[in-house]
Amino acid sequence: MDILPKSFADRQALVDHVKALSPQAKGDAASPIEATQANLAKRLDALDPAAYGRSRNFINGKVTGLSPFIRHGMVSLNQVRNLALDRVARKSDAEKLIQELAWREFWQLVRRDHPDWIWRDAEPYKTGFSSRDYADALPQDIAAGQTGVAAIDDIIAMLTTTGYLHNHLRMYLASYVVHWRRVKWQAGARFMLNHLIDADAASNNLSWQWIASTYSQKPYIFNLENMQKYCGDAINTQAQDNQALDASYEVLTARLFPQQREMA
Amino acid sequence: MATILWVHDGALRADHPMFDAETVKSSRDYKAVFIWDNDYFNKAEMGLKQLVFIYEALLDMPVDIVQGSMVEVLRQCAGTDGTIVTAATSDITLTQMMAALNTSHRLQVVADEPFAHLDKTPDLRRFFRYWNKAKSSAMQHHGGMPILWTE
Ligand SMILES: Cc1cc2nc3c(=O)[nH]c(=O)nc-3n(C[C@H](O)[C@H](O)[C@H](O)COP(=O)(O)OP(=O)(O)OC[C@H]3O[C@@H](n4cnc5c(N)ncnc54)[C@H](O)[C@@H]3O)c2cc1C
Repeated sequence: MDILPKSFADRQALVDHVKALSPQAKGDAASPIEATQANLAKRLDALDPAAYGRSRNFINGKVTGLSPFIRHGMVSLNQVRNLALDRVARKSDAEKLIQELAWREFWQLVRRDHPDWIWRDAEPYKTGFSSRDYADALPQDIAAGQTGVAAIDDIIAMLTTTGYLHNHLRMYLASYVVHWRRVKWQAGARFMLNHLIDADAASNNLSWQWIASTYSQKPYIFNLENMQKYCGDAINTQAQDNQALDASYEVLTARLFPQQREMA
Repeated sequence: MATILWVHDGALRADHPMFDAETVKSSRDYKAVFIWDNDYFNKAEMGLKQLVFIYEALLDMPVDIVQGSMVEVLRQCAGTDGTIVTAATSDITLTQMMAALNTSHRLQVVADEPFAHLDKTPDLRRFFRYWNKAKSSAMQHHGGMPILWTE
């Protein structure tokens, strides 16, 4: 049994080694986010639960960036929670962050008790469509980040180059794939798993089901105005470059779920 | 009798409670392995970026990286009468492998530090039904539970 090397001249040598070991793995380059103890320590140092509670929905908000470390058990939820409590004057200031940590715990429990929900619809879609109405495969323009909707293409580029997306960007992308393009959530979930450095079938696939409405009461949709509010300059949210997203919720609901309206 | 500490991709830290398991501590020459298993990675849909992240994390861990099929390598390392110690997970493929290994070997599965205490499994249909039950424990250091592991 050969023991594989643990010392490399530089990071590129490590990346080349992994590519040679796993040539089948999707993606061409590594993420710039390093799995080092120094990087983890930096992120734990920066943990600011109160600021997190105020700004977490904004792309440039004080999110922790801890997900790849938590996903791989490099730090436990308990350790992050304890640190969060140590950093606040009032317990309630840590509640939002601890509640988000609880989302991870929740999805793990769901997978433990319902492993079949990882790839199968937990419930029917509440969109007026049945799962047969959704395409099985991810369209090529989405995989290539060339949908023609600028904000979505920027999100896909971020995903495929860094392997990390803010929660809000994951929601936008998933909603676009399932509801604008009417593609099965499974196809989108697989695409994200292939690129995320924190890829976790429980958090990822069950979140996709939540967006799709197969694990929630109604489909999650957004519009350009919402993106403009939360994204700042992080992605291109110019109206002329994002026409498919630029409408009120009422108009989008009627456009995306016409049969739901007929049913109502 | 060999003791094998099976480190998988959900437990890449040297202070995971599995390193403190009595079986591991009392074994003078336990061996920690991470198995680079492409079939497992493919099944999990893991891409290059995540695999590089995992390999890089392993560089800091007291563990040997070995390429092969997880179950086969573990059976080979543990011999006929060895013990395999590993970290609990809800991952479906890993859970199935653990069940298979349990038929041929002594397998000890060590849970991570708990996050929240629940009297019984809550309704998992919706997050807030879970959160309402878990919150009072989750909002305390160590989930308000006695610390059974060493820090
Ligand atoms: C479509 C979709 C796919 C997702 N796929 C994954 C995935 O593969 N792996 C993954 O770890 N998370 C996933 N998430 C959840 C969430 O988006 C990420 O955990 C979070 O954005 C990671 O960034 P952060 O560490 O800066 O998060 P923060 O906001 O700083 O949160 C701190 C930690 O809490 C946990 N957390 C926060 N929000 C969630 C959530 N909604 N669900 C589960 N855990 C959460 C994570 O462990 C995170 O590191 C997904 C969400 C969506 C909507």
